[in-house]
Amino acid sequence: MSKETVLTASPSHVSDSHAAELAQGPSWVKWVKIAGLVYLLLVSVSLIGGGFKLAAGEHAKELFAFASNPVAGLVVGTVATALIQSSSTVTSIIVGLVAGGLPVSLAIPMVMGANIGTTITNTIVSLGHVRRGDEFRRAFSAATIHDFFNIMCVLIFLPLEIMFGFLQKMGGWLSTHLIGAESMSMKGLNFIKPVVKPPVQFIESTMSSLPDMATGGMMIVLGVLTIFVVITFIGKLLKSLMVGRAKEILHSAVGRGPVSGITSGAIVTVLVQSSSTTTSLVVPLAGSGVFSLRQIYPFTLGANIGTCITALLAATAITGPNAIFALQIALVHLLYNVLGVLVIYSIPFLRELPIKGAEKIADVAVRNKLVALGYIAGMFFVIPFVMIGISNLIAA
Amino acid sequence: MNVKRQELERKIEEMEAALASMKLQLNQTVEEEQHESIDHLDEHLQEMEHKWENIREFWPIVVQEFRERFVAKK
Repeated sequence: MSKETVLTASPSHVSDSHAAELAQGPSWVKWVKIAGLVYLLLVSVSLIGGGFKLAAGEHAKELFAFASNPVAGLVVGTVATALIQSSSTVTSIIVGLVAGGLPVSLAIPMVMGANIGTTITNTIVSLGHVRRGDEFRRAFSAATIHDFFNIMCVLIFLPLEIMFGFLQKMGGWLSTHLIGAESMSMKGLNFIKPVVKPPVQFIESTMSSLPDMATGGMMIVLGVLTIFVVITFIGKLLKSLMVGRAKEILHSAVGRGPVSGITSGAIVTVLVQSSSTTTSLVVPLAGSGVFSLRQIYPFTLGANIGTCITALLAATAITGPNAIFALQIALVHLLYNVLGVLVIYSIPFLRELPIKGAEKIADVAVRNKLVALGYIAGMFFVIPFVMIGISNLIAA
Repeated sequence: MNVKRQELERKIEEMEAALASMKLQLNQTVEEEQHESIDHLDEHLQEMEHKWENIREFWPIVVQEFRERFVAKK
C-alpha cells in the first residue's frame, strides 16, 4: 500500500481551502459565527412552521394528501435530500412542516427517505477514484454500503410502521415525557421562544398586506432557503474547527471494534453536523485500502445516528401546541436510526447483506462504469419515481 | 511418546508462536497505516469540496465505455 494513495488531494485544492480558512478568521470568530448561524437555523425552522400554519391553516393534511401514500413520502424525502445533498436540511424542514401542521404519520416516510438520499454525496466522492481500478472498487463499495444499509432499514421498518405505527407511538411517548403533555403550550418554560419569535413576527408583519396564503408561502420559501444556506455554512465552519477533534476520535477508534466505530462515527457527525461529510471522509480511507469495508461499515452507521442531532436542535425552535409533534418527529428520526443499527448490525445474517451488496455492485461497476452511472441515476431518481407509480397502481 | 512425535509437536508450537507474533506485527503495521491515513483527514475534507470535479472526471469515461460497448458494435 503506497503512501501516495493516501495523499490524493491536489496542491490547488489545499491552497484554495487554506485561503478559505484564513478568510473565515480565528477560531473564536468562527464559534461566534456558528452561534449566529444556529440562531438563524432556529428562526428559519420557526419561520417554516409559522408560514405553513398561515398558508395551510386547518388544511395542512389536505395539502400533503399526495404524501398520504407512504411510498410518495419516502420518495419526496429521498429525492429532496439527493438534490440538496443534506439530510440535516431536509429533516429540519420536515420538523418545521410538522410544527406547521403536517401530520407526523406523513412525515415519517419522508425522514426515512432523507436517510437514503443523503448517501448520494459519498457515492459522488467515490467517483473520484474511477481511474484506479482496485481503488475505485474499494471506494465505491465503501460508499454504497451506506445505501444498502439504509434501504434495508426502510424495507424492514416502513412496512412495520405502516402496519403498527410503532415509531410514531414510541416518538409520541418519548416527546410527551420530555415536554409533558400538560405543558404543550410551553409557556414560561421555553427560553427559545422570546429569542426566536421576534424576527418571525417581524417578517410576518412586514408581509401583512399580502393574503395569508402568500405570506405563509413566502415565509416557507425564506425559511427553506435560510436553512439550506445556514446548514451549508455551519458545515463549512465546523469542518475547519473540528477536523483536529475528528482526527483524535478516529485515532482512538482504531483497532477497537464495531461499537467504538459506531460511537466515533456518531460523535464525528455531531461535531461536523453532516452525515454525508462523515461517510464521505471514509471513502478515501477505504479506497486506499488502509481501512477494510468491514472496518468502515460501523463508522457509517454511527453517522446515521449522529445526524439526528440537527433535527432535535431544530425541534427546540418550535413553541406552542405543535412543539410536541416537532419533537416527536425528531425523536422518530433518532429512534429509527438507532433501531436500524441495533436490528441490522446485531443480527449476523442481516449485517452481512449490505457488505455483500456493496461488494457485488462495486465488482460490477469496476468492469462496467455504465453500471455505476445507472446505479446512481436509478437509486436516487428513477427507481423512486417508478415506486410511486407502482404503489399508486396497487392503491388504485 | 516417541522422539519423532515430540519433535513434531515442538516444531508446531514454535511455528504457532511465530505465526501469532507475525499476526501481531501485521496488526500493528495495519494500525500504524490507519493512524497515518487519519492524519491526512483534512486533505480528504478538502477533496470533498471539489466533489463535482469527480463527476466531470467520471463522465468522459462513461461516454467512452458507452461508445465502446454500443456505438462501436454498430
